[in-house]
Amino acid sequence: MALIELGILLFIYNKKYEKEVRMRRSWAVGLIIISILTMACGGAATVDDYKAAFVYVGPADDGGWSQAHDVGRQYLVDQTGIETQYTELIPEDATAFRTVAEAYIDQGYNIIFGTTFGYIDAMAEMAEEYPDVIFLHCSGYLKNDTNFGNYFGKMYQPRYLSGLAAGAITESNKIGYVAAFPIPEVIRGINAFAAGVKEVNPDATVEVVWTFTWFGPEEETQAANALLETGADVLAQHQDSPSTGVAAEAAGAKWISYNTAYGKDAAPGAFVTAPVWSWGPYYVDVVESIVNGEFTAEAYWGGMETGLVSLYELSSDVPSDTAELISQRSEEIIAGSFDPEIVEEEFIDNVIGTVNP
Amino acid sequence: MNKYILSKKTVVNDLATFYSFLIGLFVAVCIGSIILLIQDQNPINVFSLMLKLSVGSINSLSNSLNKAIPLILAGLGIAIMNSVKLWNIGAEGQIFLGAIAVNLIYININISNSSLFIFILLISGFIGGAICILLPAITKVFFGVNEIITTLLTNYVIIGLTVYLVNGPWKDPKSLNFPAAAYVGKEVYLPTIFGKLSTGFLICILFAIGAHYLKEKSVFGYEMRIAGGSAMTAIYAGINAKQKAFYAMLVGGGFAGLAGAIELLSQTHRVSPGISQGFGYTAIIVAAITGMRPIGIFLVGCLFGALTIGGAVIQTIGVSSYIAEIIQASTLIGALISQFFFTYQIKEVEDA
Repeated sequence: MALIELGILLFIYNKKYEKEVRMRRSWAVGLIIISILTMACGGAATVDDYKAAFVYVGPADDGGWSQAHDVGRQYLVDQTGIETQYTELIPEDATAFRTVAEAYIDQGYNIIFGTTFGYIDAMAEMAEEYPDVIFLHCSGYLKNDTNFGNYFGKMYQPRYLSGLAAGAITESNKIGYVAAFPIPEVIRGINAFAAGVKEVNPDATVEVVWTFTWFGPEEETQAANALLETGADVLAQHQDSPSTGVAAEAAGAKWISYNTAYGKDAAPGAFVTAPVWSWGPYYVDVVESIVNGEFTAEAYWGGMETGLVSLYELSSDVPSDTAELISQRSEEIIAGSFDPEIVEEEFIDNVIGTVNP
Repeated sequence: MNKYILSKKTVVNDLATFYSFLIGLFVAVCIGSIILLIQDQNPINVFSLMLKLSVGSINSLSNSLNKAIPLILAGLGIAIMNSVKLWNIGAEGQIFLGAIAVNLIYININISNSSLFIFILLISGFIGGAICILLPAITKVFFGVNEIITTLLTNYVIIGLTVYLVNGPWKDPKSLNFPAAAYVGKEVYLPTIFGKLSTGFLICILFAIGAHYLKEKSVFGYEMRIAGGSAMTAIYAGINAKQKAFYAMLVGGGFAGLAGAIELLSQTHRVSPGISQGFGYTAIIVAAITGMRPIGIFLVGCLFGALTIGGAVIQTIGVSSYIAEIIQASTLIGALISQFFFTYQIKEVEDA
């Protein structure tokens, strides 16, 4: 645009103002200078042309899932300087997501991150309605070819590693697992965890209780207590709050957390380790690709080699030979020579529970 | 010595409830401003953006009015029941059963004419809501069981039924175990008037006018008032008070059921535990602060819809969701308190 403008101005300058007074000439020269300046500034997009909005299902400081994303958001701001905003506690309901997302679009936000599975249909619909806005959906499976992508991490890899730790720690050979919804992501995590348990302790079982909520401290506590009552002495979780850890600590049991290590302070005595997310680098990469015009709508699934998922450092509860095994397996996964099996249709044999509750 | 007593005004301005809501809003804005100032936010910026994002564009205005639809319809149902001095705390459950009834009919019947199909689905929603309140109505009329308790408890049963259906028989195989029923087809979506405002809003206007005539002008409304006012007068006037109470309850439930049907056909498009986000409870507040007047319910319902959207979008300008809740709650308290002064007066009486 600016180039064409420049060309026209030069043409006008040559043809019309050639014999005009000096005043007019300087006016035209001024315009040319301005248009060169606009070309320099407006030609390539900068990070100031973009505003990114994040929509969370739980509180931004839930000590788990949403907080992991919010830490990533802050990292994004620190690294790129992009303007961001977040909205918390938005239920997994199409109209609720739409209300918030449209308010962002009204204010000129053009990158929208939805960080829970249930936003999937609303995001897919809105991506068609707002082709100029980029929608990125965490944990979903839908995408289009232009402005709607999804992103996730191979959390089953560090979950498998945490299973090795759990299998070594348990004395009652009963491990409890508080889980949100029986969707493929969760089932594959449970199976990878159970495979880790089985590898170090073939006698131990993993019992699953479904809560049907991602963030529900009360439901999570109830499920954790039910598992503790059946004799479980290690609890793992696929939930967004550290409630399971608090229940485990009260019962003198051990706890494999999830999402972030921030929940550690809620139950320092029970905390063993946690498969954790590190969204920041991904957010920086994807925003930079958008700013540079290199963005393609893809289904991103990063493993441990990208640093997106990892296992938090182990507590002293884990025996040293197990800790060695974990670091060895971890290196193998990162090198690509080993990968835990993905099973998401049914539970493997040492898991007690059903995928069709 | 004279003493002062509180007495109800004999003539209450019909618009008083609306004014009191505006005063409440003003109180909320004042309280909200103080909190925002403490938080180093500019209240003028926040409130003007809140206004812009809730009513400032066709999109946001239609979002706000869409949110008002279930509040108004359920509120009207509550007001009709209140004509016979009965309280409907079960609007939430009736909304859910209305939506469930729509889906039940949708998956079992197929009518090629989509307008006729939508009409039949809306009627099924109404009937669903009426069925939801059938048990409380029967126990109230025949055994005198307190309807506040029974309608409230019905909510939990119906929400449990919804969770069962979306995790069991109605679970959408495409949702990968996520608890929701399959979407209804596009042919039964309610058409829109402008922006995204669904035709449900026209139904709302019609029903608000209808409820106004039913309550204030019709013989049935008059009989309901007598029946609710005094059992002895009703007997003397030859009015079957039990029958009036029974019908009032069914119609009240039906209104809320219709709200569920519209919500399903225009907003969520499928049965899920998120069909109603407490609309049935908010509707009680809307009905109560308007003194159960249908036209008032319509106006305040619209404002409430805008307030709900305003509360949701206020976060997008960096205000905590909790502050949004404080603003909503102080609007209510402000409205209730100012309404008190519209309906009561302090009278000086001579000490006997």
